[in-house]
Amino acid sequence: MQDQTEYLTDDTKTNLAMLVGRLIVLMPFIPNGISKIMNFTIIAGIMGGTVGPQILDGRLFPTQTPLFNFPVPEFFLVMSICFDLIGSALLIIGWRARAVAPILAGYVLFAMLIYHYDVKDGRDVMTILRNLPFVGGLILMSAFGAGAWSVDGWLRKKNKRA
Amino acid sequence: MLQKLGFKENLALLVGRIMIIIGLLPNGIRKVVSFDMTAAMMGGAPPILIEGKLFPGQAPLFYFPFPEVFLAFAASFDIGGSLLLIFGLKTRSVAAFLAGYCILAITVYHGNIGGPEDIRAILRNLPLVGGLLLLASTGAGQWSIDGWLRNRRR
Repeated sequence: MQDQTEYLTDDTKTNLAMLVGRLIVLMPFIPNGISKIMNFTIIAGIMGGTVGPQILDGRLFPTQTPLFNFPVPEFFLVMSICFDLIGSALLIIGWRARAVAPILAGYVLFAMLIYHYDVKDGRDVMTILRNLPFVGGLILMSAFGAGAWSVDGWLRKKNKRA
Repeated sequence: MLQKLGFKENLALLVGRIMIIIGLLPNGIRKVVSFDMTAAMMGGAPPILIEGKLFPGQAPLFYFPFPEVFLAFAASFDIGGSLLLIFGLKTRSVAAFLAGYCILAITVYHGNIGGPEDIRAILRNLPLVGGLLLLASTGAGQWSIDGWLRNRRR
């Protein structure tokens, strides 16, 4: 992979924006992952199609018939919890950010496709509009990594010195 | 500072930029379309219905004096800022500025934290701020007015 990190200016302002931006983009993943663990059986039921829409954390989910129901929903739910929690943790510490970010972006797009594909309802449009900046941020990270203040940046520095 | 960027990086910067402004531009358009209603709401009238949801969902931290003026500013930040970001003119400064504006808006309209639902509302809005900050640190790449100007200068 061609290293484009030199493109970023290495000053405090840039590095700070990168770090804070990264933290903020990833923040919503964590409560999502935790809520999936807390409501594991209900959400697995929803994903498998055996349970109808439920009010989770004060909001109805899903708001429309999903595009398809998952076979073995428990397995996919565990996967998605891993994406939520481990993926965001990796990006927050900035380890292999350029590899992790596109995976997460794809995961978010995929989830949006399944649960918000029907855009007749204004609320789903709103949800999509709110989720896309999220994907945009992840795409930016997939091109430029996590900046200098990250594990990646620290490793690069160490390698350069060695 | 600037190296030649690869195709992939330029594409990511363009697509990322477009996706991020999707969180801004529709809001700006809505502010223009329902200007009077939104101004009244900012000035202290009851919440308005947007796409089946009441906005704001809680009492704002404060009401604006001269709401029309501030609304005009907000709408021009939304629309003007989005256009500057799409075309990539002064991307880094514009993105940083818009991030500040979004934080201010979130503070005013979601700052009364009464329960977990309010925190969740904040979290739903934050990725936009984060994306703008990332954009402020990366800039717009070569497929942009910034990039074009840089190339010409060389």
